[in-house]
Amino acid sequence: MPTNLGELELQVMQVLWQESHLDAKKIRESLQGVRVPSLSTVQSALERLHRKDYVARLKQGHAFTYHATVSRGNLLGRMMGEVIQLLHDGQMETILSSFVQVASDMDDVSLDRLEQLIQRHKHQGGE
Amino acid sequence: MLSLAGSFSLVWLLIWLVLSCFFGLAYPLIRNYFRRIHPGQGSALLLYFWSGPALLSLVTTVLLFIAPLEGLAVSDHCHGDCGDHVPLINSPWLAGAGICLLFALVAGLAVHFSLSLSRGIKMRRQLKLLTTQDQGFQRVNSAVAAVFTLGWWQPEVYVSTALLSHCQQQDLSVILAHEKAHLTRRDNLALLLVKVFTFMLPRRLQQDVLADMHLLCEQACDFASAKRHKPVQVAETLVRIGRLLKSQHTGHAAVTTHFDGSDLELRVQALLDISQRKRLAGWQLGFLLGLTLILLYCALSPLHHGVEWLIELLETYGS
Repeated sequence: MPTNLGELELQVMQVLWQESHLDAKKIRESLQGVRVPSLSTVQSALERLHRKDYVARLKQGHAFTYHATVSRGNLLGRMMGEVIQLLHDGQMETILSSFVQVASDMDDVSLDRLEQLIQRHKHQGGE
Repeated sequence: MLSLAGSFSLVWLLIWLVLSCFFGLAYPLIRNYFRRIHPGQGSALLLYFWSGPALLSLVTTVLLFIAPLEGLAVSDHCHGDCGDHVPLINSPWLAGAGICLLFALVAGLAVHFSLSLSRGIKMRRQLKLLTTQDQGFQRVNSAVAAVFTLGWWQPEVYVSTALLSHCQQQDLSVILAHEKAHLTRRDNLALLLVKVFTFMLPRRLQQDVLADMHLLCEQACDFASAKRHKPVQVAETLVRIGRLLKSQHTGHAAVTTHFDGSDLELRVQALLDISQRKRLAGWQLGFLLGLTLILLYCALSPLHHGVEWLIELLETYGS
């Protein structure tokens, strides 16, 4: 499942995380911001989210009501996974950087050795 | 006009390529030198060093195309009428090729970095909507431990709640001081520039240069963090967070593929030997600058003749 959601799609998801089973009109009313999109724009965003399996819909009368099928935590978890993957393969190394790069050949023994080195340094009064 | 623009483009690219080869050959000899001085200065010098092929070639090309320099920087010589001259290409197809090459190069780089930038902007917009502002960082409410900086010009620091729950207050303070140093130093931008300046190098060598730049930037930020905390505390945080990230990513086939495993080790060692990484004195920097200017001046005449010879060769074989 892709995590490349647009700004409006994310805003719609936020509305649906707060209140479930809303139709496009009510979702539009709940959207906050300076520029509220038109109803058809909201409907298009909902259609895209439905295609991406982020929302499910039920037909009620003439309109559809929507509810989120992916939780906020789940989406963030996926995004973090994507960030970590990008950090690992170095595709965006000039725009995205991690506090610590842990290499594949850095095992627990190497980390233990580094800790011992720090401890030795402390005992030798190098602190 | 076509001849002038084409000659300028081709000459600039040729000199850039030649200088890249020359700098690439010299780099293994001076690589360790960058790692022995203060990393803040080392990273700046590394950036200046690798800006050399692009900028020196540009300056040299501009100087080559200033006709009155003949006699001053370029030894006197004649091509028939004995007047002031610049190394112009007479063949229209060769001049056209020069312009096309430069255009393709600029367009290629622009597309490559625009794609990366737009992806970064999109990711940042998504994260902005899903994260909350905390003191000096964006808090990501996620069970995945992560701490990273995103952006070129005004990067932002993101820390996940999973990481926050596993680290102590001191660790967070060390991380934020480190990341703040990245923001002030604009390290992501510096890495981008090094990537652009070294694009003519073979991929393996370019990766080495980028890894060196990355290491120096990280060490510079570790040192900045060590000004507020003890170097040992920063080293302990590095290992602690490294262990946390490592334990989380054991499922990944390759945790990090583009940097070698010595990165964390070298950072810890640098912190423990922090007093040995001295800054260069003003006179040493002045000496390096003076040497560069003298070399540039001395190179003008041979470059002028070399370029004329090359153009003649290309035109002979092209016609």
